[in-house]
Amino acid sequence: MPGSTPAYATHRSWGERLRLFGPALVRFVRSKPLGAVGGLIVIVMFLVAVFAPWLAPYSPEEFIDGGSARLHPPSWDYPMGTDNLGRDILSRVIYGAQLSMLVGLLSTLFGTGLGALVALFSTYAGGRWDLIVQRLMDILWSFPSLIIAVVIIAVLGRSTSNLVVAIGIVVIPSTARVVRSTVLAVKETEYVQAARAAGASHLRIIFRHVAPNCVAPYIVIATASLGGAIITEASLSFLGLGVPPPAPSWGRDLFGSAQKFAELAPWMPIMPGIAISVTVYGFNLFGDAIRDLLDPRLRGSR
Amino acid sequence: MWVYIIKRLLLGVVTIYGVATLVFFLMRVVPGDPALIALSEPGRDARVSEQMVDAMRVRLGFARVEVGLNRDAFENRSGLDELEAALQALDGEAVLNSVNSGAPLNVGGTILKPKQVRATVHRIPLLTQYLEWMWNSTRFEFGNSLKVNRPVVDEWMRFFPVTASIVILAAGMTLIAGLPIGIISAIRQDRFADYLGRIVSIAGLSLPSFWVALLIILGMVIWFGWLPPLEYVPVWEAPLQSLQQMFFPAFAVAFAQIGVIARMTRSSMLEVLREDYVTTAWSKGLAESTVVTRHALKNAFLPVLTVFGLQFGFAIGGLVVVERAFNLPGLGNFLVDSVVFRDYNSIQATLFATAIFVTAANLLVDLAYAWFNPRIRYT
Repeated sequence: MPGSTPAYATHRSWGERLRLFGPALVRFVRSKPLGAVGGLIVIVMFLVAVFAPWLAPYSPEEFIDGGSARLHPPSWDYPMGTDNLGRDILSRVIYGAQLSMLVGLLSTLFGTGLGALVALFSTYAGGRWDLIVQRLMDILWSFPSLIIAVVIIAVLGRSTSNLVVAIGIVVIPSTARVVRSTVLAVKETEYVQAARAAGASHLRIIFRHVAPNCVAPYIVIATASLGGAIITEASLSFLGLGVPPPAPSWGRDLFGSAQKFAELAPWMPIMPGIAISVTVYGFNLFGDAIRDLLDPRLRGSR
Repeated sequence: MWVYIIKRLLLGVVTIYGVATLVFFLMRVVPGDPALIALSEPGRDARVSEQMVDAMRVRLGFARVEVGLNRDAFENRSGLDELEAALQALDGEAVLNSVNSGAPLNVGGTILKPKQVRATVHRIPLLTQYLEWMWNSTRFEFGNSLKVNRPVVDEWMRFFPVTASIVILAAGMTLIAGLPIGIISAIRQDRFADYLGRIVSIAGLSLPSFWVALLIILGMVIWFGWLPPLEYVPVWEAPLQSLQQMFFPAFAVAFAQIGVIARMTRSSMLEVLREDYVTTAWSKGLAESTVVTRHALKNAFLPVLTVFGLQFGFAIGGLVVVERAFNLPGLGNFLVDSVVFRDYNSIQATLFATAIFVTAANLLVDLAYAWFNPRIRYT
């Protein structure tokens, strides 16, 4: 809508954005090589999760040759070996990526989204609302994260959607804290006061003037939370509180029978463990780079 | 300073009662009837009668027993008032159980037949339940564990020493390893030692603690033929052996924390090392060790301390999985067992108690912060 766009606005068309994306990517890779490696790991893991049915040589729950191919060490036929029931570990690791990525992403979106929205409104409203929400966050914060996730699963029962809720709730207070400090700073700026004087409604001020300022810290905290969410999912599965078997899950696959057979078949616990570590490592490196880029306070300090 | 301490203490109390409230409602939003769910778990009697559900409601604190004498069943009706009073002084749950099972009841020397006793179960209104729960948690009364039918607090005391010793060891390791790694990373920024330190610290963040625990166990099993000890040795019986047992679990818990503390120390030191007073210290010709420890570290330590306190809760989370991996009889293992068994009383108590620990730890850190930071101490 060229007619309604003010002359001072710097709107870019999507084509222009796409053209700017290439050089920006090159700059990112040059300045943050570790972050680029992390980003690559993240992308690869997402692709693995999405294309799991095409990538996995076997079905994750299939007992190969009627279950006779048990405890094979890694070989050309079974690159990560087979487990005590004769299932291909590579296929289980590939399908396990689906659960990790899905739960990690959804729970982070749920938790950070809810935390950000609550903080946005309560801090903007200020006074009593701010105080109540802050106390609530203190209370949530005082539960050890994994313990509250464990108890929520105990209360709601084991299922993928309950995992998302349990893991998401854990990141609400940290997101709320970060968003709150931004809103506090923005709330008193002159342009917000100007908007108010011009008669803008509270909703308009929140979404047009305050929220855009929270985007950068929100992205920082969301990317930083992803790795932790994946670890929490794996930990819950490890404790036997994740999705029920026989569905593949990295956290459960490296414990239980994997530990019993560890001496005979060390690849059973090691392969899913490596998958978790590499994925979380990638997310952490990527999150670090994003933070360095978006958080001006820390820019250049590391 | 005192005003600050009192304010923080009051806030802590508010938080803990908030925690208690949250725990209360968490246990009451269980979809379905918690008493039924608790009874229907495997390992308990398959047939669930109305009587059993009522008894379970009493044990969970959802209902109470009203006891009285069935006066029609008595031939001699004198002195019944005293007898009734004595009966009502007994534990309602025990009376209900003996009435349900048809066992005779001994009330102050008088043996009563089950049909002479009347025990009815009444639902407690939600508000009364809530007030009772708040009052009971103030006194650390959490009822009996549904699994072993002993007071939850007694169970707690059995598991507490293991958890406490791992936490203390892990906290010590975190500071001893995390601070030096961070400091060296900062003063040798972008050199080999720094890269090494950063790789170690981000590895700490990326390796889940159960994975570290499992790698340790795997390594020990494969190379030394060692197995995790089945029998736990308390500290006071064999300190050295206990330390041996606790070292690796504590390391698995501390590993992630070392990474966090090292990163925080590094960035905090880097900020401080650019301050004017550090440049002044250098130009005075002070030794590097003096500048780093006396001038820089002293100021860089404060944010590290805050993070250390905040990390306490995460460390406890790591503890749950590490205790599971090493098969240690600690509170984490107790919690997971309680969850698997739907032992609501134990879950409630554990949740409440860990929240108190975390709140207390944060409080201590805040007070230490105030102590180290003159800007807070003198206001």
